[in-house]
Amino acid sequence: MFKLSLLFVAVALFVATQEAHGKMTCKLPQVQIPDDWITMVDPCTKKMKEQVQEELTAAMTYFAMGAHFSKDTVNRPGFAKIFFDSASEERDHAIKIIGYLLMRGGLTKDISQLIRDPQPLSEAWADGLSALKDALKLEAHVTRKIRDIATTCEEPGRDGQDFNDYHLVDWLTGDFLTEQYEGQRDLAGKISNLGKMLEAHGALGEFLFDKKLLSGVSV
Amino acid sequence: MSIKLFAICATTILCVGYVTGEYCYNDVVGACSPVGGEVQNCNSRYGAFKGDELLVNVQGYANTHILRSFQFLLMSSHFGNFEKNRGGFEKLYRQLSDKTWEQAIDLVKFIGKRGGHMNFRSRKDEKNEKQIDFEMYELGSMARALDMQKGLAEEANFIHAEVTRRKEHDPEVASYLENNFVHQHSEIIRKLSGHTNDLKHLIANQPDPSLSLYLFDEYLQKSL
Repeated sequence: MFKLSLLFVAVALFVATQEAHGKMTCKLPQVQIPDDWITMVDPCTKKMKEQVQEELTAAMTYFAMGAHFSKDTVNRPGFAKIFFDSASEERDHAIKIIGYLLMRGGLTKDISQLIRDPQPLSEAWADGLSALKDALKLEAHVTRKIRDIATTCEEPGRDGQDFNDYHLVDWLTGDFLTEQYEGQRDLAGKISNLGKMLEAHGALGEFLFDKKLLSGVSV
Repeated sequence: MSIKLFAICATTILCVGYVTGEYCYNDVVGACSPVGGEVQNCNSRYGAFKGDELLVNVQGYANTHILRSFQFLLMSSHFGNFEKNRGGFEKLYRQLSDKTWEQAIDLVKFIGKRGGHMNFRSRKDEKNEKQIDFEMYELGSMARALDMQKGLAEEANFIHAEVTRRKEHDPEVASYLENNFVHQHSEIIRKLSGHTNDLKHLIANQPDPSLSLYLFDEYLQKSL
């Protein structure tokens, strides 16, 4: 009898909590959507996803450069400005790639693998020139990676898949590579100008160059 | 000549003795003397930034912003896929990602201003945080965003308390946090809490919340 009453109480409690919490339907059912429009194939998609991390690593490296040149004892606000701007630009590139993948029907699962705690490649630089040189090397690396995607996506023939992704390659070469090449040329020009002055006018050269960068004049 | 030399030596020794007072000027006098020396006290560190304790906390705070920015970006991307297709949620989380990114940059500039350096690996209880599952549904994501924003607000409060009550008083740090963080946090938290409760009411007691979610998402997209 005692057992029975215990059971009764338990059942009553269970019902009460159920009602009190007012169970909600939060997830919507899956819809059957035709998938023959999703034409990006595996080795290509993989490369594109990896590029997100590449761009964000570049962003974090520029971020660290901005942090370094913001220090009071370094005091190069012009360098800091262009590097912080570059950091946000690289982040925008990552977002653009994500946007493209979403447009082509990708990123429906395993999204947490897309960004894996990107960290800067370095956190201190000897001077402005060495940071600019590192920046140019970084851009060249990113450019190689983009070319690599294009190569893979033109002929992802492995595993019986055969799909030359004309649109993706066109988008990469048209939008991304143009920006890469222009950016690289700009950095190389800056290194050239600053490098020439450093020979004889080290500290003064960098000081003046920094103020030019700060005022946004093309140097 | 020897008297002059003696005088220089004496001043230098005197100055070296003074260095314990940590004055930039003394460093400079020492460095400009024939003996030479470092000018390690010529920096912008004062107040609460003299020690490393606050610096580590502010570094950690900047790193939390970077981490959250990437997490919001993943949430935004998730709602942008064709199965979820919630443009409003995508836009909301993208804005939060942009905001936390900009604030991270601002914090790093602030650290530089106060004579500190940035360490991208200094992070608070990183290990304790469970791996977030980003495949979220609408209400769950809003709740998650609310919790994340509250965490950022609490961390600001913690640093604020350090510079006002617990450690060395530093009104500049306190005012910086007030002007650039705490008020904005309360705005965002209020908004997210409002959204969460709206959503909850809209889908409660409904076997099929799809239309409510559709309309709410449309509202979000237009209002942002």
